[in-house]
Amino acid sequence: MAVRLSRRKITEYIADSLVAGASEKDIVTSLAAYLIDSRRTSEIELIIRDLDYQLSVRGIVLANVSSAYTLSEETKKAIIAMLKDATGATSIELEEHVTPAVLGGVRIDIPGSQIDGTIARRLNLLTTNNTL
Amino acid sequence: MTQLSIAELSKDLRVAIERLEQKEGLESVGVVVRVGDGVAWVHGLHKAGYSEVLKIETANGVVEAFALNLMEDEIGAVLLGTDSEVSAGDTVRLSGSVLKVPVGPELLGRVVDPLGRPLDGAGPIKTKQFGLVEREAIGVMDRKSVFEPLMTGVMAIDAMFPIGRGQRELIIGDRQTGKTALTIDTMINQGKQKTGVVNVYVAIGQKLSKVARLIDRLKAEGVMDQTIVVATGPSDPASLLYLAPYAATAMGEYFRDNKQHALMIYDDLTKHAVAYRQMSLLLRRPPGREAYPGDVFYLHSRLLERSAKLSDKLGGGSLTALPIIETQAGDISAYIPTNVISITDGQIFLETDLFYQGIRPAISAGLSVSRVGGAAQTKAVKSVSSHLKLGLSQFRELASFAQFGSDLDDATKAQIDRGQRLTELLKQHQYQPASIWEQVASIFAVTNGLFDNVLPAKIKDAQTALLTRLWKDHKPAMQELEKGDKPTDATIKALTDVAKAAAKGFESK
Amino acid sequence: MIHSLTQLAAADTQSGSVFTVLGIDWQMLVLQIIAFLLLVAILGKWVYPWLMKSVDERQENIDAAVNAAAEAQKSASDGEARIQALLDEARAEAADIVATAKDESTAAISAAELKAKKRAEQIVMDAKDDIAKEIVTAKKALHDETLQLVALATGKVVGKVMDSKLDDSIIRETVKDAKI
Repeated sequence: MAVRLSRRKITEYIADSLVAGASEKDIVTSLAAYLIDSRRTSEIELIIRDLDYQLSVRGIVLANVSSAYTLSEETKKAIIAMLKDATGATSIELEEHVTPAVLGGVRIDIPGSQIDGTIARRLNLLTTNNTL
Repeated sequence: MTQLSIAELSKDLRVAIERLEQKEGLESVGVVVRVGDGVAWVHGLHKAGYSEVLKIETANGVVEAFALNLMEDEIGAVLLGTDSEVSAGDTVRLSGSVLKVPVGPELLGRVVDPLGRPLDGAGPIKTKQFGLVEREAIGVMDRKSVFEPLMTGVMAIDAMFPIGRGQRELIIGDRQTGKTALTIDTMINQGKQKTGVVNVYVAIGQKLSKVARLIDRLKAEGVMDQTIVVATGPSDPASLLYLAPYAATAMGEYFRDNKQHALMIYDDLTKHAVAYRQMSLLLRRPPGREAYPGDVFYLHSRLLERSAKLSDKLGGGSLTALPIIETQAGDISAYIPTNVISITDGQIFLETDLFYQGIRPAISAGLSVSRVGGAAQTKAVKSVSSHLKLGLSQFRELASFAQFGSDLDDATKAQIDRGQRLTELLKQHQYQPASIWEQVASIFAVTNGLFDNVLPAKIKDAQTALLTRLWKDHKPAMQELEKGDKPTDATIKALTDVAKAAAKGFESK
Repeated sequence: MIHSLTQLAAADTQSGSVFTVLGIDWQMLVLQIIAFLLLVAILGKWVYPWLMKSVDERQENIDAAVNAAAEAQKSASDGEARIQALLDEARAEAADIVATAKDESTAAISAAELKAKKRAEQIVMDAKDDIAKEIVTAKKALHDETLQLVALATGKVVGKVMDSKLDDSIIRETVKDAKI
């Protein structure tokens, strides 16, 4: 039996290929084929997470931004500038989510890390971190 | 302090609200992929360190876990709380530190769990310091050989298998042979004799009713003030059972490092090994003999190695360990017992047979040993008990042999008679530890043949009479003896006279 | 008697020989003396030693009896002394044992008293402890409850007050102040 490849190895390979400019379609097809062949289709979600991480290591960052209201263009620019500073990434893509549950403020998720400045989290911290 | 004051409450709330003002930053986060059996598998957190504490944010607050399996794609973390609250998809953050527990004198008299959280309902514990749960043992140059006695108050132990401060002495025996009772007596003795030794009792998966009884007893005897109880019950997660001895040792080390003396009681390491086996199997580590993981020896050796006598340069503090191991049907050659026997500096073996013969404490004279305690034995006790162990083991052998025939030579008969009296003498009621002078006087009277005419059944009465008289008539001499020095000729004469007089009332004729 | 003396005196004056007057026969006298001496010799030789011996024996017996009596008396008084000594010793021992027993009982009583006292104190302490624990629990409950309420109220208020403009400014502040 062949050695089971770790997700890290698979995603490193894909990220490298993508950065090198390989065709996305080809990569997706071959990945799907591999996963079906090795019966690891259930891992697809984790592989996508890992791939996000590997891409972020290579300077391509996908950021999920959650806020209670839609963000103004200016704010988005500020966020992108801050993320570039923070991660040293070359390309940053924002994906916006409007979630009223955060009450106010913003939560920025990038692969492996997070900045949570929402009011919901602060209130949560108030009740959970300060119990006697 | 335990007043319901509005001012204090509002101050607490203010502090809590002010804490929210802190700035947010980029934090490493991961996500729970799977959870179950007390183990959470976490994706992400590439920077997590070994045995680092992870905080899992659940709907009902934060559950802590510590990372034990750092693998290529995921982290296996053992939960320190219940796994029912944690669900897949929960955010996990790094705490940035390995496990620490509060340490310090504030813990004295308290009952805590392995994370230092109070279990006795007596308010929060506010210590100034924290100690690392996993800490490296003291090095060679910082140690000193054991030389001060740690009196257990159990005559059979202090006379035959003396324990020194900084020693590791295993207490091993089947279930229901009085292992815990022996350690309770030792703790009580530390209070009664005012030795200043701090007791740290670790209950690893013990029935909580038993722990509650123990605490009540310690309170009744007035030794709870110098005792810390670290309690885990059978329903606690295996991770807490695994952590308990390490956390408690960190608490004991505080006293060791501050020129004091502490006594650790691990009750018991069999359950600890079982908890670790459970954790290891759930973390998918390969099983070895009896399904224990490969590092089960290291598990106990690194724990017990932290018990030490420090050099004078470091203040000369000490940490003595009394680990307990439960055997099955007296089999001391099983895996965990042999491991711990080889780690410790001796063992006290308790036998079921002796226990049911009414010989309590049921210490087996032949199988028990103390490898370093001889140097630490109190001089007074040493002066009277030099041949005790040999005499007693010979007696046990002769007694079984003598059952076959009644024609024995006088020497053998004398030996058997003496042995019977010694056996009677070494019986001791629970919660009644004997002080040094009591031990010296009693052993002196029997080993010197002063009680040879007393019926074996009356030995305890004669002993009581002897001790009462001695305390009444020779109090200063006895107080002198209590200091532990070799008895003077005058004291020996007084002992002899009083013993002879005391024996009169109980002679067989 | 006076009559015979006067007769003798008269005879002396009347005849020449006293013997004849007294009627003593010389030969008879000599023979009697010889017989007497013979008797003495025979008695001395055979009878007296035997007699003396039995007398001596008797004397000795009497002496021994006297001695034995004296001895018996002595030993009797000795025995008395011994008995006295034994009695004394026994009394002392008994006193000792009683004293020890008394000591023990007083010790036991005082121990029991001490224990009872300690127990009582313990009960009081336990009660105090319980009260203190209850206060602590109540305090904790109040504290936690207050925090919950504060959070809940804040959440509700923020939801009402917040609009996109305010939110935007909060977000900018967060982004600006973010610790990187």
